[in-house]
Amino acid sequence: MFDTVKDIVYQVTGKTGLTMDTDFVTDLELNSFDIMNIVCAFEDRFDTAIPTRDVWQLRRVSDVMEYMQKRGITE
Amino acid sequence: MGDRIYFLRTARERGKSEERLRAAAARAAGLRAGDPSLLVLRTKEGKPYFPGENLHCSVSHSGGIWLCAISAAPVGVDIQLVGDCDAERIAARFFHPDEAAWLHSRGKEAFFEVWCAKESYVKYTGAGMLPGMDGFSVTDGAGISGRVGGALMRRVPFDERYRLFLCGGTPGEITVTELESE
Repeated sequence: MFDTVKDIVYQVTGKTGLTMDTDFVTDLELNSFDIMNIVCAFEDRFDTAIPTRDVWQLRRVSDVMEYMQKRGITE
Repeated sequence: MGDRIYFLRTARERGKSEERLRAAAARAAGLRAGDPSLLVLRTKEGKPYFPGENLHCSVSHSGGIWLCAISAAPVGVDIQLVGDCDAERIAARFFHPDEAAWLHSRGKEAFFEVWCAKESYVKYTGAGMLPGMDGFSVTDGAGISGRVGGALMRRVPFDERYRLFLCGGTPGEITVTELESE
């Protein structure tokens, strides 16, 4: 799943060099438009819906992975 | 002091925002960059502010441009590089029904007008991004409203590849100045 998250972030923003601890806002300096597009891409790739109220829980790469795993999504 | 926007073309955006903001505010207010009143603090929602009550600011970045607005009144600024996105899907999720309807009648070019104006408004209020974005409208049926929630809403002329909006601030001319490269 880590590789999938890295690929989505690269496809949407062109950013590379992610680690599990990478913070989308403070480390990658993504703005809200980037975040919104990444969330849409996560929804498409993982075939799930991410409520808007949950978006700001997904600050780091590891948050995304935990969020998906809690919903039974492994890849 | 009229409202001022300072911008910087930079491929390296990381970690220098507060330093740049202090430098820009010092220039706008005629102070030294090290002046104690230019200490940058942040609200719990992440909006930067100066501890004194006389100088207000807002910061935005997109597509290799970093910029800030400095004003004598509360202000919000947003810049966005125009690019590809699923405008209808995003509008359905984050836009007020009036905005979504206006966007549908205007086409994709209007998407970034609405997005950028909305972002400048939530930065003006300090409410933060995304949650509640669909609870207010920046359109009035004919275009982007001149006032939103009682605050001035202005599109600022800039490089045509971008959209730039300033919300709040003071009436009158907006000065846009490029900072020296780092």
